[in-house]
Amino acid sequence: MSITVSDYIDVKAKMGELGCSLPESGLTLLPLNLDSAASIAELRHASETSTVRKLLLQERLPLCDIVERDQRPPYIKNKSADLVLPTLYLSAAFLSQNSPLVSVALNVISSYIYDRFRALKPGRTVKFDVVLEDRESGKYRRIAYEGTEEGLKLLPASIREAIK
Amino acid sequence: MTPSQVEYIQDFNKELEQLCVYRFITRNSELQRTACSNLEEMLAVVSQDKAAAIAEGDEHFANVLLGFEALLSACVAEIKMYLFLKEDKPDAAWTELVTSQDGFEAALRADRGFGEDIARQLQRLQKIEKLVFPPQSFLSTGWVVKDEICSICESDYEDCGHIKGRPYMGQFCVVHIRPLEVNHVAIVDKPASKHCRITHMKVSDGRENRLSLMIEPEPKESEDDVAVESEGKLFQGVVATTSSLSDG
Repeated sequence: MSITVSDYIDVKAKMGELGCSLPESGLTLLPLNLDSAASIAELRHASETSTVRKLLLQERLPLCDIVERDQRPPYIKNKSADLVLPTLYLSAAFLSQNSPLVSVALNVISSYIYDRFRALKPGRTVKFDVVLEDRESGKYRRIAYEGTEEGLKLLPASIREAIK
Repeated sequence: MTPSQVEYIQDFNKELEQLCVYRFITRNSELQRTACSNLEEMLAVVSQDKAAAIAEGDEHFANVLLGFEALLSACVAEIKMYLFLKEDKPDAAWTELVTSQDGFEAALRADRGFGEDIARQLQRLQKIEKLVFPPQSFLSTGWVVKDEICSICESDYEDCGHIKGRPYMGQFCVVHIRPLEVNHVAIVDKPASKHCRITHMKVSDGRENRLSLMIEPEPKESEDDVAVESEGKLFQGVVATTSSLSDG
């Protein structure tokens, strides 16, 4: 299991460059290749994006889309056993006003992973990134998780640490 | 759950237990074939009962019966695996092994009542995989997908309320995908489907079967077979099955 924290691109600037909406008031699921895509057409979502999106909406969590419905990026479906989740983006505004909802969202995602892994062959891993906007510095941090569903319990603490 | 449903489950378990004694390679092949027929008859009855539960709108019992269907399919596949091994047909045996594993996994997803015993059955099959079969090289295909269709409501998966892999009124939610393009083919340790694997290595006088090590003549080209080059050798394998265009 590993949790790595690193700098991430300027999400606001990238969104503006691509002509995407600027997510501020809610949770946002970012495409896997946001940092490298040169246009909206090049964006690719993780395979589990539509499921995670539905799970968050079913819990009535506020979710922002970065593009219109007809522009939603295609998905990369890897026929591998590992579960690749979309990158969860948390703006500074959302973090300051709705921090309890972050825990709810992580619980929803953890429960889904637990359900999926309960019935699957052993040794499968999950890949899940969270990108945070730091209000004070204006910089962006990426927390990349890779491991079993058990290790996901450590992610909220890593998010809290990164916010500090 | 009603008393009659509890009784149904007890009777099912008893009947299944009697047929599970044939899930060993040493059993007589003819007896195993009869056991497979009996299990398939049980499966037909369970499917009818599931249809009745669906008609009555009893989702919980329909999902329990969905699990029974998965269990029965898993047991049939395991016995067939032994039969194929005894007939010197390792590729067919591998297919049945994976089908059996998938069946037990499906039973676990069907209802929370399927617990530890099913997990033990899965572990048992994993041990058989490691002890009976040589290590396999698995293949994983990456697709770029635009459209996802829900098997339950047949609408766009993004817009419906169903979650893939979960049971709904006796059916699993499966997402049917429509790939735009193949992104890549990779050799992986943990594939989504163990059916997708390297089956042969090219040799001068044909191709060597990776399970039997027999040299076989080149077959006519199959849509699902692909040639993969690794460490200067040319391999053939299955990169996709009909289930590859489904997720869940």
